[in-house]
Amino acid sequence: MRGEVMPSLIRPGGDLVEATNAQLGIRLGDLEGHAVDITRRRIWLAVWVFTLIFTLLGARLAHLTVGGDGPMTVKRNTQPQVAQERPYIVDRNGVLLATQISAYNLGADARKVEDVEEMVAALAAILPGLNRQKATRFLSSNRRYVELMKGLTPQQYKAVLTLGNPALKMEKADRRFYPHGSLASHMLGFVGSDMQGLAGLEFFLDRSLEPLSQESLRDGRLPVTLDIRVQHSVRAELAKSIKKFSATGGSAIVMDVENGNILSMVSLPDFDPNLKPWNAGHQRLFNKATLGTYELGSVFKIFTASMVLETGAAAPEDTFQTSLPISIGRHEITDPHGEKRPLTVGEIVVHSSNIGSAQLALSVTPEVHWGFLERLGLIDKPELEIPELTNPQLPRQWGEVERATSSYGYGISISPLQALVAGAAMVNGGVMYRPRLINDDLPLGVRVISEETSTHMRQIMRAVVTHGTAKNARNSKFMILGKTGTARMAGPGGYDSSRLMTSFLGAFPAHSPRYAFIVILHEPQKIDGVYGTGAGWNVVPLSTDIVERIAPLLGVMPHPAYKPADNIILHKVREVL
Amino acid sequence: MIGFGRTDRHFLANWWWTIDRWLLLGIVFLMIVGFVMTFAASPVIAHRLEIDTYHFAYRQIVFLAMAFVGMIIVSLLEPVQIRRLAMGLGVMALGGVLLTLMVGSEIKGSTRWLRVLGFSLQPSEFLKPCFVVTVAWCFAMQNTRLDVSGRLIGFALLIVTCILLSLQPDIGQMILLTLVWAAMFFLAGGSYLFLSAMSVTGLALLVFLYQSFPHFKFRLDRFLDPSLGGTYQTDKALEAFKNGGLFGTGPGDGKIKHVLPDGHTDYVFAVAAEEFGLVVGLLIIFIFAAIILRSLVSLRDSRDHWVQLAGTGLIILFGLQTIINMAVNLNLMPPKGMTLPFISYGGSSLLALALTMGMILSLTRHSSGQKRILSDGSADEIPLHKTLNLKGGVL
Repeated sequence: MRGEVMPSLIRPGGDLVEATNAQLGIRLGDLEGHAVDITRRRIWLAVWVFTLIFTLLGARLAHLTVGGDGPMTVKRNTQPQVAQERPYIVDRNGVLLATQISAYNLGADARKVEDVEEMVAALAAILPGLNRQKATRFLSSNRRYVELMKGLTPQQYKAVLTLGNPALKMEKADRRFYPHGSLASHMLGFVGSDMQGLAGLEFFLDRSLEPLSQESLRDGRLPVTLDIRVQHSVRAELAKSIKKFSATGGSAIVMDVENGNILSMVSLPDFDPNLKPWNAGHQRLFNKATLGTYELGSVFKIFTASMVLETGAAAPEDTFQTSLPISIGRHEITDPHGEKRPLTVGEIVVHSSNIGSAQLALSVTPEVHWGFLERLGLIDKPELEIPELTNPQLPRQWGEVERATSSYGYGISISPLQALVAGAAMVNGGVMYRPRLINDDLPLGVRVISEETSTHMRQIMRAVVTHGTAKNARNSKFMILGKTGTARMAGPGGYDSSRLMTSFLGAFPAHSPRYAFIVILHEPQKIDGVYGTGAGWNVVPLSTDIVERIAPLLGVMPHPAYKPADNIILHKVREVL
Repeated sequence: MIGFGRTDRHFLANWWWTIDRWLLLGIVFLMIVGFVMTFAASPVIAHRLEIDTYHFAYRQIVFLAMAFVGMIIVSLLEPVQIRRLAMGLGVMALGGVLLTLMVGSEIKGSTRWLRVLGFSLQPSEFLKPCFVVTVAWCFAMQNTRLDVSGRLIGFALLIVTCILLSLQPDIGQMILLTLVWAAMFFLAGGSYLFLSAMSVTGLALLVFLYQSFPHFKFRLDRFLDPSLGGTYQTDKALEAFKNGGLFGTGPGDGKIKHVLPDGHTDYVFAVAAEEFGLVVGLLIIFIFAAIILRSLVSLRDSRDHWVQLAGTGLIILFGLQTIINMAVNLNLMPPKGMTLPFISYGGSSLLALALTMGMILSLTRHSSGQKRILSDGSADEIPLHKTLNLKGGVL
């Protein structure tokens, strides 16, 4: 057929075209046949072009996958080698927090096993943790290597060696060990079965972009800012209170306000990193102190107050009318037990007035408001060495309603760590330090409010203790200052008044704060002998107990001006501030 | 069961004995790869978008089934029916493109989508094959009718289509269609002089586009100088190829799909290469090449000019789309959103491809072209099976 022009059977246009063409002396069959032949030739060109391009694509693919500096596949198998170099972790006083212990993995060449029953019996006598069924099944197989058990102790290793069976194979596989068990679990994190860091500082050790500098390591030991004595006191007191108030959980952080060093961080319930922590469940593995975000409630009022003082939107002595609820759109803001008189900026915080707080927030522009929260690091994900960090949950809009509610801590969820870092800057003279667990460089701080504003904030937060919602802390001889928060927890159907989260963000000693802390209880219940369920009744006494225990450890002296509460002449708040 | 004897006159039997079964097998292979890759690449995307894990996978199965059936139905048609279908659908698609300009939903800065019966359809996808077939008809007319200039009509069609596409704006499709048009013009016997003139114009137009469309400039700049940054997808794709090596990381173990926003669509080739390695990557390239080359060789033997041009135009459209996607994946070209035929996720593109390949399957059937069926509407008066194709073959 090829090249043969078949007679045309049908002609378009009918006779007219035929006639026209005939006049022109052209036979259409020839014309089309000619065109078909041209196209035939040119299709060959297309065939060659396509062949060439696809060959190029194939070559490029080969070059990218297996060419160049070799495939990455080789690299992937080298990871476990880091195991040997994993540094010990010690606290700031050199107390061992994470270390390696010698351990061995036991395997066998199943083809060389002569009597499976006998071997399993012999091994089980040495290794109480051996899974006999699995071992029998594995040893009955015909595989060159089966793994029988991980983590043999040196004694067990020796005993297995003395069996003298050539089918058994053992290799050294050190295990990570945490002498304090669950005490600092959320901070240290844990490693997987192949010594890869999976959480906390252990994760950081594997993933930190730069290798740890030699300055940060002392004899192969990595010192962290944690003080295990403080950690122990904080955790013990928190656990006691959780039990006492039948709370579902709690968290606490203690930080040095002058450099951002984290001395203690507890989230309860927690887990034991020695005991296959990945099986501990979400509840225990979840770090409430850094990974949880919460509507902290009234604690937020200190940020609102410092904002208006810092920007000059209101002077400390300016008063605001708080006796009547205010309406914003369809939203009404009320005070549960308001003072029926105009309050100063400080009094708004001391008496925890939502109405006043909303007015403070609305006295600045939305941009200034947002900008101030941003400056305090409440808009972004905080920084810390551990990976359990999260972005705050912010209002979708930034209208008057959102601004008003966020001024007293609703509609904006932040992590306790963020609140503490910003709170420390309120009282330390106005410099916000980046929190840290590894103390290898100068502290990183930025001024967020003036020293003058910070002085005001100290006075206000001390008045919260002497005259406000945290009176249960006023008996401490370490001069606590702070701000309470009692927030209803958001549930599926809105806020649930029966489920509260109480928090206390504070610092001591009040005249020159050195240590800041945040303590939170989740869903504390009312108990006999205690008047209420608000923060003042559970988390404030708890914080006081914590301070009483840790201040002596930290070298903070009782204040010379301290007198038992009975003798304190209670001034009117207005006079104190 | 229908007996499929060679002498069977049933139209399905006729179809079976005249269809290019190797071509069909290649397409089915691609569909299977697409099926596997959707399961490999889309769950992570679905997870990231916080929708049902197999949302994309299930949808793709439905689309693949629809595409397969649609392709078979189209391949059953006779050439004259193909042409009528193309012209009918072409007019509808043009209308659809116009409609998107008025009521389309805007996605990523362009209005290309229409919502039809709960599906998002992209009319410009369907416009492409219809445009090619119609232009082929115009070009073929050049040599059968002296009273009309087919090439001029073909050129007018190109201009109208380009204007519509640039309004969307969909510059990628516009360039693609222009390239296919130029290739067809060349194949139809266009002079080298005219072609060079067009290349120069095309280059000038590219410079103009570079100046006037910021995102076009952005991508080109970054392709020429990666140090400008913003080449995230490209970098990740290169990493994926490297990571894949000879045999790949194994199904499900690829990492790129976790970090690429378009892992299930534009960058599915990189995902495939990472998980299945060089060997499978080369196999995919080979199948694409085989489909294209086999079609071209088969069309070469056609004695009907329109069938030749329409078929080659369609296969060039298919081939260019494949090449552009792969070249972008392999960083041989600046990023251009182009799906990998049959393998990328996407309903519109899959259905449009089924239409394209259905037409190619029909045009490469043994009975097409060689028997010189017809190249214009006058065949309407004479039933095909009586005049030409003695085996029957009219639906």
